[in-house]
Amino acid sequence: MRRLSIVGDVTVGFPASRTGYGQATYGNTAPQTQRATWIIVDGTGRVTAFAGKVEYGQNIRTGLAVEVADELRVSMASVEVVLGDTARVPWDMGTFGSQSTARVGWQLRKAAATAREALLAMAADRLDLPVEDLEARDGAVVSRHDRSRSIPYADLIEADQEREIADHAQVTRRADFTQMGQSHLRRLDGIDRVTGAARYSQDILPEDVLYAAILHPPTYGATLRTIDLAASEALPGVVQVVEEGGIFAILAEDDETAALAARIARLEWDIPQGQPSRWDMPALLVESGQDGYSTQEAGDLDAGFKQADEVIEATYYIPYIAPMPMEPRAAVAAWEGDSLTVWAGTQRPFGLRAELASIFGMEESRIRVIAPEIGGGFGAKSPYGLAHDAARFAKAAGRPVRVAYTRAEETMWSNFRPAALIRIRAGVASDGRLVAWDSHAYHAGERVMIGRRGSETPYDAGNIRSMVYRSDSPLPSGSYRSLGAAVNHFAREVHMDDIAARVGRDPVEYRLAHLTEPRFRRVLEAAADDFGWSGPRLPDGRGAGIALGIDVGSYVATAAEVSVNGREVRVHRVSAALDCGLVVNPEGAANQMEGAIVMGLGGALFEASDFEAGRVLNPTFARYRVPRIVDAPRIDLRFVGDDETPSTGAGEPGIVPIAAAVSGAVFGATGVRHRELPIQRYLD
Amino acid sequence: MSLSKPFGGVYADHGMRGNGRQDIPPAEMMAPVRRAIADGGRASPDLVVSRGVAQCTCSRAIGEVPVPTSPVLVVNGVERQASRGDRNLLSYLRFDLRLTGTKYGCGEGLCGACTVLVDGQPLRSCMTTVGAVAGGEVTTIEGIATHDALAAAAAGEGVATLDDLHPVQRAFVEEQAMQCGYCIPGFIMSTVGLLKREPEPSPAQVREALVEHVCRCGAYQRIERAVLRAAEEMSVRSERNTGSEGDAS
Repeated sequence: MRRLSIVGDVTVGFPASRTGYGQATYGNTAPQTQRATWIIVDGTGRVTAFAGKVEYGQNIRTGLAVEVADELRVSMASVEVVLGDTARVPWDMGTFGSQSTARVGWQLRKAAATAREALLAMAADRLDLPVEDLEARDGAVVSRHDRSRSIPYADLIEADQEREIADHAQVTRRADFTQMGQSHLRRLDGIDRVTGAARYSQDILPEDVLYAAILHPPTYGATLRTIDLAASEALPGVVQVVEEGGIFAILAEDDETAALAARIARLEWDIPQGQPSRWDMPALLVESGQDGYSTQEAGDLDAGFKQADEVIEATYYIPYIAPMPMEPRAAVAAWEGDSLTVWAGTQRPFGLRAELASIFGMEESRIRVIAPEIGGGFGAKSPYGLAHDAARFAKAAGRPVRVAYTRAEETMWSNFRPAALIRIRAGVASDGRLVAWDSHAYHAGERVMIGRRGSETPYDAGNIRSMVYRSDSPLPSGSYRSLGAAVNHFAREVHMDDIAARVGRDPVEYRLAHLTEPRFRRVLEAAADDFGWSGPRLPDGRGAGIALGIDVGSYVATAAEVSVNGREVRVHRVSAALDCGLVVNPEGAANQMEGAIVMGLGGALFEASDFEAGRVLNPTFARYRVPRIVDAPRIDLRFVGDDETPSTGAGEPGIVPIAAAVSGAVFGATGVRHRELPIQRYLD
Repeated sequence: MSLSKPFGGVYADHGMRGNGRQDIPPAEMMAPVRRAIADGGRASPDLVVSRGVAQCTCSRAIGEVPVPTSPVLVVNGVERQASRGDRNLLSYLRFDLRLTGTKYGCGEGLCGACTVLVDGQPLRSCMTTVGAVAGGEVTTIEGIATHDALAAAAAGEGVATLDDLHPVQRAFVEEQAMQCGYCIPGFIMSTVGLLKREPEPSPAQVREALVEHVCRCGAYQRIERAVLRAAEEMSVRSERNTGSEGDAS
């Protein structure tokens, strides 16, 4: 098929400059090739866009399609978006940090604009008209003066051609968008998701596949003392017992046989004594804090505290929480000769490919990693070690192997949002004004990076120091929607509420008095207006709370109304305002904001991962409560960004202020300030 | 300790330990799960769960009533003979029949991703066996819209459109009641069951019927809207059909 290919640089999929997290955490190598095809317009006029991102619920397929469609003046439905397949798409570091629209979307817009300009130039030749007299419309180039003179894109592509993405290509101005920014853009993949046609990693079942059950240790850090697999091996349907990379697994012809064989395997483990429990966390966080890193310094802290009439100091504690995506991890590996194909619901298909290349000593070109649809991840599905296991087992068995985690395995053998303890000391002058702000945040994890996000205060206190430390982590700590930002925001915003209350000021008015950035002021005023803010105390014993924040470049403020009944907090309604610049797909962005708010309510009210002696005590839904439909409040949203400002992330910011808003609202209802999460554990 | 405390205060006895309570889902929240299982009439809530593979210990599956060795059941209108009666129903559907639209989420009947209809009633397929539903009619997400166009699209021929869908499926698309979508087949199956029992549910009834499901992406507000929208569309359609002697479906 004849095609016009638009090629360009792949390093846009390299978000280290924004979050610094991906590279520091995963040590991703740079791409091996710098150039790749981003867009193809073929001889039938069909448009295909390629991106290294994965779809794990953020609806990026639709978001990217609408950007390409608008630039190329075709309908969204005629654009196919290919994602997450290392054999087909441009290299990408991974889908995290809300970078898909901000960076890859922008690259695709430039690529599509390049394609449009190339098609216009071809048409000018063919029609013998000056290019200025032509415009692209509905998949064709048309004369502005004589509509009958037009050529469909399909007819313009007479031979294979390749163009480099042109930096000077004119991306479409806001006023000329016909699809971007429209409400109710229908999901491209919506029908597949309601018919069962969408294939997730759990659903990949090649012919001849073997089902694996891994013999995981009962605790973290346990070492195998004895193993007796005779009974397991004797079970009909068990094909093989493998030990690869220090991991034992049963391979069987069906899932239940594998699980049963694993259950009757006799293993004895040495379990290390003296592992910390959840009760040890607050002390452990502070005592093991190291690699202190200053994220913000201003003025002279000592001088600030000298001016202070009152010093308000408090400690905030946030336990580990579990991501609990609906789809537990699964991976399928199939070898064909010395080539390997792996299907894995990972956020980092290219990173996984590099890991596999290193494990097997292979060229990356002989490995194909395909990320199919992913049933949620929220940042946690960047590490995907079970794909390594699947590839090793498949090699040993000479057949495709499927490794799929149970719910409890998914919880225990993935990673948790880090526990954190934050201490803030603030100095307040006699007129109530903030004059000093000293914050020390201890986040559990191997790298100090994990706690940096959101540690800077936007409030003008004159004299500021914000320190972040990394602390020992008894549980595997990893990424999670907005990561440390949600935790840092909780502490700072509750502290602001506390100060406002002590100096007798309204939480909104007090914040505004210390905010100069107009984008912060705008989201706060919008959320307060939409909510009908009148202060923390509401009639009928209800309470209201409000908080603001910034994450991945987007500004957000959220207000919540609650009632407290015994040990249950009911969140009745939430009003939120987001400024993420240009909103490409308003329905998609709204869905993400709503989801982030609901997810944040879980961590605010009842989620905590409990552990003792190396064991997670609540790894399943029976013991770990997540928000359900009865917990979901009415959510009103407003996007207050400026259409001329480039898009920033919308998937994560919604979670950042919600816990503090709820804490403030519970204070309004009960008069008790909650500085520890989850709040319901502290209600009696 | 590698670091001096930046300022005083005693973090350890500052109430930070909470009351030690695990916040498990409240009993009333889980009651519908038990009820749904009981309503199916095919499984008891007395369940053994281990490693995510649930086994039904109810009398009909294992006990005085013998487990059929090769039970016959109808799945999406097709008669099937399973090789083992004690095969987990979810595994049977997903791995033996390759009907992967029904999802595994927890293996203990608490997330709803595995919901199918058995003789029109929503049932947690992860909590029961093929033998326990022998003789019954099982409908999965792949089987609720019967249009040929959808089957053709599933086979890779042609593209399914909204018109090919069941009204509940259509309403979920229209309201964009999904994010990752992994939980959605389960929500849809329970909704189909709900609307059969209660064609005009109140928002409270919708919430009660769906409390047994988890959408970790948090699309609940949209899911509620989608269910109410489907109810409205179906009641309009059924009125129209009744008026014109058509089949009320």
